[in-house]
Amino acid sequence: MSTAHDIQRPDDQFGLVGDNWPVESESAYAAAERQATTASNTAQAQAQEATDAATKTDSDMKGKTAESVSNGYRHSASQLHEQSVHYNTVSAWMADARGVVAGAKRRISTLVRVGTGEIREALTNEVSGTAVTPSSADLITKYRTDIDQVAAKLGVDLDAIGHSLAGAPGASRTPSYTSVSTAPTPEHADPHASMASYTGSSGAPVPEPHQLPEMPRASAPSGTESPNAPVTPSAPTTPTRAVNPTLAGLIAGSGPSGTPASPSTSAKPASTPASAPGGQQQGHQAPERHQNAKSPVLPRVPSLPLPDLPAAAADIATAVSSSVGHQLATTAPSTPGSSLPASTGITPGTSGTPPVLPAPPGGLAPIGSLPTPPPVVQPAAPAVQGAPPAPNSGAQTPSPASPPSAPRGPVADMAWLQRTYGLAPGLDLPKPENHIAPMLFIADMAESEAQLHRALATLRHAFDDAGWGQPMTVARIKRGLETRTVYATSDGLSIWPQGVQLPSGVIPLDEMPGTPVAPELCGSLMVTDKLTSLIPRGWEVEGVLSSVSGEEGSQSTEQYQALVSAGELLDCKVSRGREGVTDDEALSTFARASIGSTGVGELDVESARIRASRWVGTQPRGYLDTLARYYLSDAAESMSRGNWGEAVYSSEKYLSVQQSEKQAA
Amino acid sequence: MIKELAALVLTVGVGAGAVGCGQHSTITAVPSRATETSSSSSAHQMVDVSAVWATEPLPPCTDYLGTDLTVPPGLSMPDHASVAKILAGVKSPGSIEWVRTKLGWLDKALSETRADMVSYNGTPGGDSQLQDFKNYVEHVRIELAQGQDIDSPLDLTYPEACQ
Repeated sequence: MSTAHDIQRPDDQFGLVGDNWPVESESAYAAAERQATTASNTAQAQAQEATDAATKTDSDMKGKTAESVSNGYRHSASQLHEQSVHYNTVSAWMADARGVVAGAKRRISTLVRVGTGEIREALTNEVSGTAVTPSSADLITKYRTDIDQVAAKLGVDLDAIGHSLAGAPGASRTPSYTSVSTAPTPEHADPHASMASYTGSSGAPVPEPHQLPEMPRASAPSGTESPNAPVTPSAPTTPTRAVNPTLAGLIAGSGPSGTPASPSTSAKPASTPASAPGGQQQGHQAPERHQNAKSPVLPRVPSLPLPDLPAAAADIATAVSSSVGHQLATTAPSTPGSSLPASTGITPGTSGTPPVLPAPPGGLAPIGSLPTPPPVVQPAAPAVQGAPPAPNSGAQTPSPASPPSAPRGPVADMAWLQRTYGLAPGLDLPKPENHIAPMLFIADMAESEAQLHRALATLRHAFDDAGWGQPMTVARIKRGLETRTVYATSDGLSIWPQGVQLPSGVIPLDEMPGTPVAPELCGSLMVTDKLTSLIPRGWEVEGVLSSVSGEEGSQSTEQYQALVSAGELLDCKVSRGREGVTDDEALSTFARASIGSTGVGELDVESARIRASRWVGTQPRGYLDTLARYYLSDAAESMSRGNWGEAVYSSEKYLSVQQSEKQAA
Repeated sequence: MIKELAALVLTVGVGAGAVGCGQHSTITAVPSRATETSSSSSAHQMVDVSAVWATEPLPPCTDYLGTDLTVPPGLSMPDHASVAKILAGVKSPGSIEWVRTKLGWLDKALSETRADMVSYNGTPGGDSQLQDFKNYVEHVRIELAQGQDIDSPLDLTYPEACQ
């Protein structure tokens, strides 16, 4: 998230760059790209759940009700699937944005370096009395102009991406930059081979240009249908920009129509928080949301049939409610905020201040860059808006018109995308929100349930901190008088990465004695299924809680944040591995593991691979191998740190994965 | 004990070199290293940079950027071979892992620079970028030859970092 890894502005003693250095952050776009990918995976996982539920319903029930329930599931599944595709497309455009931003920075940097050299040389000559052509002054002018052009091109490219994201008719579907995974993917089985293609190795096949699917028309942008009519003050203005909505502008302003509004909002929070025009805006945004709220029809469906349903019903209910859930969930985020002023993101791009990104309050979106609170236009408008479709012309409110763009800022805002497209699945939108819940939601829960919430929040926090955030589930299980809290993760079955300490009493599922061996579930994103299907014999599940938003029995991001900020986390003191392991023991276990291995990669590379291999549907080939490599590199790393306990832990994990791999083969 | 351990870890590390590289010269390091386990002070095996470069090492990131767009005819672009030319003959005293990582970053920069050349083809600066990238490769070459990272203003433009 931090912009620390962005390309930095070069030394520029002749001031060639001026204010042309891009304000956007490629890392921020990369973060948005990852979020979109995660959202896509989640939607896909949920689509699968809904499909499974439909199948289950078909096989377990007969009659009209069953049919309608199963149709409901199928409908939901196809919607979720579509959302997944859209999110994937969004992710690809984010990668393109990341590329064009970094590309502009590289090109500007190189112009500065080469230009500075030439200018310096010309100057040296001039100082010693030799006239040169071009003169240093000419060169300075030339390079400044060149850099202007690169910066202008970036503006154009971002606009184009904005149009593509908004589903504008005729917008490009071929990004200039493509993100290539360093882990094997269905398209590129061998990452080294694809590297060869992208670096122009002789003999390697040239990468094939690919087209992205179209995005749905963003509700706001076009101005055409400006459904927002009711309240939207600004509608009119924006269209103006239609000409040139930069990605920034787009995102910032929810596309044209929203644009104007957003600036104002964003400007506001800064200074006059409360006064925000809450009412209006809310109205404005509403339409978009409603759409999704409506669509999922199924929500309640499941409950009807419940009585008749066989045991399967429970699962199904979970599946459905989860699919539905998000939709609801989506809405939620924005609303809660409402109590607060503007920051709540009523305006699309401005989304409330979230968090994640380092941007200042007003904005996430590229818009964010704060400083220039653009012209706050909003007041005027209401009247106009009636006449929406008519392009901008009439409306033009004051100033905003020409300064074409919304201020650009470093970041892209998922919240906006989510709202605009109504894509919502369990996107984990970090929502730090300022609203501190007056009373913590766990206050009126049974202690055991509250404890499960604390345990999950604690794990999420520990994993996030260690860079291993992922969908996970915890369960309280019971056998006679004994109870345990176990967890399952997406990676492996219940991964326990280096740097994560567990609260005492919370154990990885695969460390429960008697947990069935299930290599085929390793890496599955369906964490709840994974966990509930692998409870050791004799144990009963008392409660399950997952981080997959939308699932029944899930802990929302807001709840998670609330627990974190209320300090309701459990102490984490348990480290991996046994105490008192000696170097001899570690050495021999590690040696046993590494004999016959194909070698060890670096831990961060192997970690990245395993994280990139989470799946839904079918386990990718080679998953277990990737997992084994990860464990071995983890073991090697622990060895080199002299942490014998952890080395043994990881070596044993490696051996056990290897063994199940062999059995599977 | 510790020494043996280090040797063991090292051996395994070198073995890993074999994984990505087909049957290249680096593998020969395995037996010789293994037999001299405890005399770590003996002459260090030099890494053949070109052999590692030929394996298309990956950057230690989950992804990198490239372009699928067709290269316009007549556009000069850096490519794998032009980099190989600059790196030819370099033997690095650095560890094989370090060399591989360094070259992984270089691969990433190459892929991205090529994408820039296509994407920004319509703007000025193509020549500058070509030259600048070449300078960067030369810089990496020196780092490799010396077996250590060396600060340079080029680091600002070609950060060894994932996004």
